[in-house]
Amino acid sequence: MSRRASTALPVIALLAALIALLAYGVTSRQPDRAVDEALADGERQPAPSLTLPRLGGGGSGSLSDYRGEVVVLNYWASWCDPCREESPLLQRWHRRIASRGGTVLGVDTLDVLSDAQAFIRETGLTYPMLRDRDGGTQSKFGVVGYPETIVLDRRGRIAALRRGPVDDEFLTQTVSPLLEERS
Amino acid sequence: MLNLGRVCLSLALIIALYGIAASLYGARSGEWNWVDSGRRAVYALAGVLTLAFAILEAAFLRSDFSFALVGGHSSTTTPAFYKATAVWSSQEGSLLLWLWLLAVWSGLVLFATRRRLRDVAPYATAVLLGFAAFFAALVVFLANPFGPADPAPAEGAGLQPLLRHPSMMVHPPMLYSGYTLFAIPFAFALGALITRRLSPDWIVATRRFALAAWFFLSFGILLGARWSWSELGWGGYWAWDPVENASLMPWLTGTAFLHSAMIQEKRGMLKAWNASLVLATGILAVLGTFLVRSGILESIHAFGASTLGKPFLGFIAVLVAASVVLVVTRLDDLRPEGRFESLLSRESIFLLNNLVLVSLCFVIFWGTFFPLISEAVTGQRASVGPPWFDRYTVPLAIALVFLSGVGPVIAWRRATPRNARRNFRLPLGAAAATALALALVPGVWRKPLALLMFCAAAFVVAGVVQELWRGTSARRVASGESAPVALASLVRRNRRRYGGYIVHVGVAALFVGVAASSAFQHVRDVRLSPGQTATIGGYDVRYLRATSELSPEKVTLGAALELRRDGRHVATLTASRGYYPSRDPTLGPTGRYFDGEATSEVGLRAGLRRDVWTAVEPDIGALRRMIDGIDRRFPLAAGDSAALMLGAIADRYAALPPPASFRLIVSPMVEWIWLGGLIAAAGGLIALWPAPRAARRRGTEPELEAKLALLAAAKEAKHREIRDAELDFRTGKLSDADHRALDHALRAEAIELMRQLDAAREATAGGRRYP
Amino acid sequence: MRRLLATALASTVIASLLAVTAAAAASCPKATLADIEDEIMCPVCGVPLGLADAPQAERERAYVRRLIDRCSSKQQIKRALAAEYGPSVLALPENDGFNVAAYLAPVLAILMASAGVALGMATHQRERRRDAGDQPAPGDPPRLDPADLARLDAELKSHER
Repeated sequence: MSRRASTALPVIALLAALIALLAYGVTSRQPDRAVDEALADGERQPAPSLTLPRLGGGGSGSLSDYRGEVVVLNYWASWCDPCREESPLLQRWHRRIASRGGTVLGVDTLDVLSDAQAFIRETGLTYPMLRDRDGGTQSKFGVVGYPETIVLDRRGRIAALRRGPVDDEFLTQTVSPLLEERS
Repeated sequence: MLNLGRVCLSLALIIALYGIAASLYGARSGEWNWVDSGRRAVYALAGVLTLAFAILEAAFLRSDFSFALVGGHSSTTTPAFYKATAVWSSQEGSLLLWLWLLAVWSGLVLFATRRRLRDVAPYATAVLLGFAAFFAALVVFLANPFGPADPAPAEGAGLQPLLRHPSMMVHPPMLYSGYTLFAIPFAFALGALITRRLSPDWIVATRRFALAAWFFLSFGILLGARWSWSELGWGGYWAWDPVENASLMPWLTGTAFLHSAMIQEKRGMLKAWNASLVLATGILAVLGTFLVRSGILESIHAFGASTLGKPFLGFIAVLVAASVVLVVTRLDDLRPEGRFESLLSRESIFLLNNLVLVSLCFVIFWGTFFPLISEAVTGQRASVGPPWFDRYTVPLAIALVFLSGVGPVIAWRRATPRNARRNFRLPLGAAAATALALALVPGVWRKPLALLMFCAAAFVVAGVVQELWRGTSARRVASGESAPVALASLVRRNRRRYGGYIVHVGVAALFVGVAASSAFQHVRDVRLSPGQTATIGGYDVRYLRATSELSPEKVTLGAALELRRDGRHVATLTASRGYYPSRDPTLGPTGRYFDGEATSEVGLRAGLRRDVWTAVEPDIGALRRMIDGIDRRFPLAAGDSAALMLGAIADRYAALPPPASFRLIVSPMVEWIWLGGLIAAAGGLIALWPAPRAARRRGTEPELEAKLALLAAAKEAKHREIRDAELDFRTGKLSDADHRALDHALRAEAIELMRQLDAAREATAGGRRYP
Repeated sequence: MRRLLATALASTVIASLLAVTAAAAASCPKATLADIEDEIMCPVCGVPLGLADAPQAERERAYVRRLIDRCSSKQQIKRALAAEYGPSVLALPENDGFNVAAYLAPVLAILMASAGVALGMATHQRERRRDAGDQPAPGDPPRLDPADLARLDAELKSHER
């Protein structure tokens, strides 16, 4: 009898592990909306650290490199049509804010290097580009689609978020006031 | 109408909850009125849900867009057939379908068993109503199909293009029937464990329910595979997609149960194992339903992430906990009665069969969930695709087919070794002959696993043919009937045995098809202009001309292909791509068709020896200038004028077609998969067919006390053993001496049971003498 | 003489050119997209590439086709894809770190299950032999009452139609 009960124990343990796994699956599938909620409350959360290789080589770059600047962090890919449409706008804004202590920072994800470089060439983008090969950093900001843009203030806190393509109005409302702030 | 539907669903939830209370109260207090009331609650539930389902169907057929669901998944231009099936293309509708099928099947089964299993039935009813209450609560509170659309749109979104296939009418209902039918043996198992009445009649009834469930689930899975092959543009029938795997897992454990249940019926062994297996199968069926809707695994089937993940998880946790607690606390009642007499017996082959099937289930489970497991452990989501699954399932499948050939040829209890050796000569010879014959076919030796599978299949078929031959001959000796009549009556009197053998033949044919089509497929991607020819697998495929067609719901551009072999015309195939309009308002009136969803229409020539599969990808780029030009000049065109312009584009494509990309596949013996499935289904039906009148009459004798029912069922099982032993002897599996000894022992046990039954009947009030 | 030399030189050059091109053609192992498609994933969709039709999947296929045109072998193409998209683009997990469990677990599970069954059977046989050893030799089987046997036969026959 005890022998049969002892074979039951590992089975019970395995079943408990299964339930735990499913629980993990269910809770982890919800995209992280903590940032959105914080912004809705008017809070600015400090941005998570982000270090990625530069697109096309030349070492790596990280968010902390841009501390003191207003950063418009843009997740994109060359196969994403809305990204193609918003990129010229981002380039214009980059030109505009570069002299005022701001920058656009692009993060290319799940993309072939040559495709990305061709995209950059065709659109004439000059802002710094990082490359997230397998999209691993997306979960830091709860990114699930493309494009998504996160605006950081000079102190490296998340000040605004757009889960979709940006337009002039959004950038004017969010970036310009941040540029006025001292670091 | 919307309100009536909502009322029906709320009513369903209330009826379910009432039924649970009534059944449990009746069971605890012994008042049968309450038990009957609980059972009638199931009938009422089926009725109310049928009404709700009918309301929803009618709304779809009418294109009543005041129903949000209708607007989201159908449109006025959707053909009527697809309007009817669009009901279950959505999360809410499919949940209602699941719930409705659960109620209907539960009602039918409880009606059929209303006079039997009286101790267990109330608890089984409560469990089934528990399932129903959960799904009803989901539907009422979280995913209500009767949500209003306010304001009602003028036109609906239409049915998702990929789902516009006749199989949509049958595949989901069949699959869900399989899942819901597995809830029934689950419920009866829980009931039997609660009441500690794991009697022979419980296992017989449970096995029949499981067989019916297995039948529908097999059908559903095969239909899905066939749909994939003949309709989808990727050119395969099984992708090891998580949802596909989730439907296969309960099938595997259910098949294992069907076999090991026979051991429990005959010898009273493996009780704990069977109870665990049938409970696991029910849970896996719910797990499959959960996977499609929770979004925890990426799949082409998924409804997408939803809020239903957490409630489902809670439900599964409850089911698992209940199963574990009941099995562990009832281990004493699950003690085996008999013993394995010999390693050389059908029982031990069944045990090996269980081992292989459960291993297959574990392998598939592991591969399906490994991405999630690796993400949980390392933070990185590993990918597990077809190559991994093929590596581990193929050897197990070969072992499974081989075992299914050993089982029919070996005797129950204890086979006589000399007889066994003699009986395996023909099947092994057939396997060897197959190996030699195929060695002459060029290229076969390069695929040793496929070759092994072919030999295993030959082994199976030869064994079954031998069994049928021997059985028929034995019968003719006894009754003097002609061969066909003898065969028919042999099968009729031993439905389970010979039905099972036929299932094995069907499964062997199925795996032959799988092996051949996987190992010896030819695939080519080519770019052809009209008039050009490509060769593949001995066929010449010539691109005759481009085709185009316009319908209210899509633009179709395609190609007519001529198939020739050895210079002779074989067939003309049409492959095309249908372009459905996107609803994005920023797209132009014609451009929206080419930026929306597209489906492939496959040009398929099916044959017993091989299938020729063709798909086309027209070059839209060449039409872009025309499309963009039209959209620029007429950005607001709609209705007839848009149709006119689309027609112009389609005509232009047909008149001046640019080179198109084709995928051509020649796949040997794919049709054997479906044929094998049909053969297995026929075998399943034979096995399922109800017993002749005499045995059934006994079953409806009312109000036998628990002990009487137990003894009667044990006596039935003993009679079956005697007949099986005789048949084993007649078909040469047992020596004369062995059979005589076994027969004598069995008859002694049967007589003992007879005496006990007499004594028990005398003891009950108004003891009825056996007629 | 000079013309002879010129002709000989020209022929040698042409012959060697032909040989080089022939060698180049022979050493171009044409992989096919169809062959690779079920062994790699579409990272955005999470399904094998053959089933995916997202924009990213189209780009991935275009990239694979470019590599095929450059005469890359299947292995080279897979490695290139892993370099571009990360290792999770391959349909087989890497064989290091925790992912070894993907390959080990099935084998271990089957081995353990087989060992369990074998152990169970062996214990069973041992118990059976022990029980059989306890009982005396059966000798002649006990006679059964003919009336009982007749009744049993009647019941068995009533099963059949």
